[in-house]
Amino acid sequence: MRDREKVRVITPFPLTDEQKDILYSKLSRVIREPFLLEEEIDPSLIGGVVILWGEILIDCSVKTQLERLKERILREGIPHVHGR
Amino acid sequence: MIRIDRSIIFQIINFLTLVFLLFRFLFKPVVKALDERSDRIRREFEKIEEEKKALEEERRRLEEELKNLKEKYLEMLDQANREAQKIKESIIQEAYREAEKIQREYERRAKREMEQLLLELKEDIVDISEEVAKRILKVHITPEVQTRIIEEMLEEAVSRLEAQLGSTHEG
Repeated sequence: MRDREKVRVITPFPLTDEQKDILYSKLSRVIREPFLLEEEIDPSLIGGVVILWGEILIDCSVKTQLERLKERILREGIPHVHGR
Repeated sequence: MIRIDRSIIFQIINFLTLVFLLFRFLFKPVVKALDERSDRIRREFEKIEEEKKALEEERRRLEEELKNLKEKYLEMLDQANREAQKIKESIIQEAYREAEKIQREYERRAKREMEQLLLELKEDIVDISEEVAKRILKVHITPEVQTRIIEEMLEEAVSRLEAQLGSTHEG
């Protein structure tokens, strides 16, 4: 019997069952075989999730989003915020 | 009949002899000496006159030379003034150019420093804003918000990944 594919999931705090279900359902669309979530906690991520699947990295963390926003502001200036 | 005394005749003869002798030995040398003296004086006068003329000529020549020298001096002075004016203008122009160059350099440096300061300020503001945003988000990211973030961001990422993998398989 083949070992199940392992996917590392890093979050700032433990995943709820609902979040795990969402992760399974979303990742199943690209991982076409049974897989196992290996959970890891990193509070510095603030929010969101970082997924490591083999050589593929999916970074959906708030920390990375903030860093990208910071780089963009330094490069292009503060983006205009339109009224509501 | 008139009687002529012999003594009178002798007196007349003596007188005539005296006159002759005086004329011969006294008047003639005296007149000659006077003539010679007169000639000498005239020559002296002529010599003086010539010297006077020569001196007058020399004076005129010297005056002319002085006049020429004066003109030459004035011309040289004028030339020197013009040259000095040119040098002065050249120095002023050079000083203006140098001042403008220094001013441009200072402006460039000030602009560069201002840009550097603005960049540093911007970086500081962004760093502080990032830190503030992190603290605010840490407080506001509840499990519900985290679920929404995972759902929305992961959907986007997975869709992209699907597209990439699809194009890889097709390729």
